[in-house]
Order: sequence, then structure tokens, then C-alpha cells
Amino acid sequence: MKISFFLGFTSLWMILVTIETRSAERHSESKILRNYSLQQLDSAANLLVRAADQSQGRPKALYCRISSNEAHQLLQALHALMDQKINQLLNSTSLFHPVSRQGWLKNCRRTCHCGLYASILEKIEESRLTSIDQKALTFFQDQALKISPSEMNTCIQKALWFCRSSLLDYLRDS
Amino acid sequence: MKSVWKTKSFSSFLFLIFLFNMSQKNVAFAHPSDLQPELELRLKSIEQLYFQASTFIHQFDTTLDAHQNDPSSSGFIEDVFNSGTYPNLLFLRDQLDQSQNEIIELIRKSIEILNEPAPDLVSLQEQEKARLLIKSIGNYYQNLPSSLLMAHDAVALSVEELEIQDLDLKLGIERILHAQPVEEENIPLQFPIDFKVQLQKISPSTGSSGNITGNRFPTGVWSLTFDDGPHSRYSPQVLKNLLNAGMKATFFMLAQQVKLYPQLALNIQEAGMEIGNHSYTHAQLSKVSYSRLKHEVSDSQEVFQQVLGKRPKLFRLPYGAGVHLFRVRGQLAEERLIHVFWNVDSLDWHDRNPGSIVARVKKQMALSSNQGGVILFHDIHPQSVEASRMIMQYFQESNEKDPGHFQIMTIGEAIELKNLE
Repeated sequence: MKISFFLGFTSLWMILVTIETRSAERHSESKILRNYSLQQLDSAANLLVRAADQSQGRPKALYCRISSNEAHQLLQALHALMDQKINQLLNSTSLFHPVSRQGWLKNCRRTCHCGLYASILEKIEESRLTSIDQKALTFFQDQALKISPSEMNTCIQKALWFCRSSLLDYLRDS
Repeated sequence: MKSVWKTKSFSSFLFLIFLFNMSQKNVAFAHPSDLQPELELRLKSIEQLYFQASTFIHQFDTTLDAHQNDPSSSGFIEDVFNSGTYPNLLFLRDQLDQSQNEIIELIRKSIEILNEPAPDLVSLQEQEKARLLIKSIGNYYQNLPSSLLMAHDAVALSVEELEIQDLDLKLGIERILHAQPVEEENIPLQFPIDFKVQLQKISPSTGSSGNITGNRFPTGVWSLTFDDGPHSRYSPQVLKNLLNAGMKATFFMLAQQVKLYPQLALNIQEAGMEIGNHSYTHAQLSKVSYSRLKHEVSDSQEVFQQVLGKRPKLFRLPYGAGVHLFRVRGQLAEERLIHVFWNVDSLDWHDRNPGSIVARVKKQMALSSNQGGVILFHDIHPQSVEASRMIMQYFQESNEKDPGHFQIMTIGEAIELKNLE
């Protein structure tokens, strides 16, 4: 009787330790930075900015039922993550790779990332920007302003993965 | 009631001395393995000290409230600090620091031993003991509830910068780093720096008087703040708009940017704007080691001193991160810095549309309970230049219709006004 109780208790304890360990792993910042692309973080930010702009009252399902106040707090933590990702990108050579640049130019309006790409280029010192970079920056800045509310809605609907993501868990724990 | 507190706090104090003496038998340890037999006791003593400190803080706050509400009080709080609770708090902080440092040192030494070559059996045995000790600490942390993990925050953050290969310890540290943050009302330790300050006055401290949100600004008083600059392209445009509108604002600059554009920073200051410190590199200060925290706060102050000829009195934490952490706020208070948060966030770092930024700012301003506060912009984006210009115009037009409706001033001026009340 005592042995079975002891074994049962030990198993339960081990299960709890496993769950806790997984939870710790799930919320690790480095893992979040590894698992989510800058574009995914930007999509989450698009959703959260809309959530932050909601009127008081019951939070909308489209914004993961996140209230305006909570969205403001989550955006602070997300801002930090995005800055880390952008700094990684600025320190890498892929930023200047023509293939990735071409993809950005082609898809930024459809994916609602024009603002993000403009912000990245704005972080580079003017003297380091080539004439092509300057043209790309102007393009992204213009396109970011042209994204209509309905285009943004479509992007946000595609970002609903965020509601059940480890990213949201991480931001809430931060 | 007061005598009950005194009796309770005195008995707790005696208990703590007993507890601490018990856990400090071998303060100068020759080898990490010396501590293995009583490791758990020492880790538990950190929690005991931490939670006893929380109780004392509650007592201290209650005493402070009672003093404030006492019409016969002089308004000065020296007698509160001379009461029994405060010396107990100081004693506890010292003991807590020592206990935490002891564990940090223990881990550091163990890792050193593990990183050295082990040419003989004795060295191998030493390494095995060090490994076992680190594993025991990791296991201990892994099995603690979040509420107890808070007490080990300082240990986790110091250990974070060490090269740790042991998976158990790594996971334990991860758990501590991601424990629930402390709510504002439960800030673990509060030590007002200036004993002569009058109650409710804004001044450098780790308590609420050392953190401005704008929620207590007088009605109609607003401060425009600009973070992350100076930026070669956008900061001059913001400055020009402010001068055109006849308004002053507060610029929270990064020391690395000030070093890059010293003349621009100087121009902004000479134009009558206020300069605050926004750290050295815009690091998330809630997640950095103690040495990095010191660099971000204290070394950056040196840069401002060299370039601008004076040290800022205001600081804004990057991402607002760490505002509830004693170790972060303590560092700011040590540099005699007041932390400045905000109650209106334009979200201009993400939103590219000046129109929607302005709508967001106006909406939050309308929701502000005191109709006053601190507005957050970043002078590193083109949309921020335009949106802030539109807000300045809104202030001007409102004041033309209703003179004095809005009073726009720097944070320093708003603090002076608030402290005069």
C-alpha cells in the first residue's frame, strides 16, 4: 500500500516536473526568436495595434479577445522582440540580398509588411543607403500609407494563429 | 495598534537574526562542496528574508500613511525612518544581498572548477562535486512555485551571463526568469533615497514618488516626449516643429546616439528642450545582468555629462521594461534619476499613418482621468514627425478657442509644478 502510494506520488511529481520544464522551454525568449520570423512578429503587431485601438467594452474575437489595455502592454514586449530581430537582420548580409529584397517589394502590400520594411531601412544610416535602397525605402513608405482598412482586416484574419500561439503566452509572461 | 506592530516586527526580527545566523555558519567557504550539505537551508533563507522584507514594507507603508494623515505631523518623514520598521528593512536588504551573492559566487566557482582541466583523480572528484552542487540548485529552482521564485530573481539574472552547460541549471534559471512579474503594489523593497523629501513629492526613489506616469499631473498639463534619438533626419524636423509651435518637449536620448550626433543633441538642448536619458543602447533592462544594467544607466550618464555638460535628471526605461523591478529602479535611484513612464502611447513605432496615430493619441487623452499626462512619441520615424506636428497644431487651435485649455511643458517643469501643490 505504502509502496504503491509512493510510486503514484513519484509519477505525479515527475509529470508535474515535465510539464513545468516544457512550460519553461516554451517561454524562453531565444526559442521564441528562433521559432517566429520577423514577418510573423509584425503580423502579431498589426493585430495588437488594432486590439489597442478598440473602444472600451467586450474585446473582439478578431483580436483574440485581448482588451485595449492588455494590447498596449503586450505591444511593449513585442516591440522589444522585433527590435532584436531587426538588429539581427541588420547585422546579417541577407538584408542586402537582391532575392529577399525582391520578395519584400513584390509582397509587402498583400502581407501588410510595407511599414516593417520601411522601418528596417530607416534604421540604416543615410550615408550607408545606396540609391536602390533609397528608392526601396520611398516605395515601402508610400505603400505602407496606402494599405486600406479592408486590406489590413484580411491580413489580421490571416494572423489569427497568434491567438493560440506560444508567442502570445510569452508576451503575457513578459 | 502601533505597539502590536512593534511587537510583531521585533519578534520577526529576532527570528530572522536566528535564521540568518543559522545559515551563515560557513560564510567563507573554501570550496563549493562545503555548502552542499546545507545548500537547501541557504536557498530557503533567501525566501524567508525576501518575504519577511515584504511584511516589513507593508508595515512601513502603513506607518507612512498614518504619518501622512496625521494633521499634527510636520510633513517631513525623518521620524518614520527612525521608527523600528525601517532599520529592520535595511538590515534585511543587507542580509538578502549577502545571501544572494553567496549563491551567485558558489555557482560561479563551481563553473570555474568545471571549466578547468582535471589532470588527476582529486580534480575529477572536485569537478563531480561541483557538478552535483549546480544540479542541486537547478533541481531546487525547478520545483519551486512562481511566488517563491521571485526571491531568487537576482541570482538568476547574475547567473544568466555565465557560460552554463548544465541543462538542469539552465532550465531552473529559465523558470526564474519567466516567473510572474511582481505587481506594483507588491514591489519587494522600497527605500526612498532622500530622507528630507516631503510626502507625495516627486523625487528619485524606487517607490511610486520616483516614477511619473502623468496620471497625477495637474489638469490640462501635458508633456510631449520623444524617445530613441537623436536621429540625423527626423529629430531636427521635430525640433523645428516644436520651435514653430512655441512649445517645449522632453527628448529621451540614447547615449550611443548622443555620441554619434553630439552637435545635434547640443542643438536640441540649446533650443530649450529638456534631455532625458533612455539608456546607452536601448537594451531591455529587465533582462540584463547587473554589470550591464550599471553600464546602461551609469555609463550613459557620463556620456551625457561629457557631451551636454550636465547629467540628466530623468530616465525612461526602454520598452518600459523593469519599472516594477527593485534592482532596476534601485539603479536609477542610485543615479538620482526619476523614471518617466507615460499614459498616452501613440504606437508610432509601428503605425505608419499619422492620421490614425493622432486619433489614437486624442482618444487616450480623452480617457485620461486627470485630463493631463505624458505622451510618448519616437523621433526616429517620419510618421512621428507628422503626427506630433498635428498634435501640436491641435493644442494650439484648442488654446485659441479656449485659452489655457492645454498647458504644454517639459517633464521637469511639470514636476516642479506638481511639487509646488
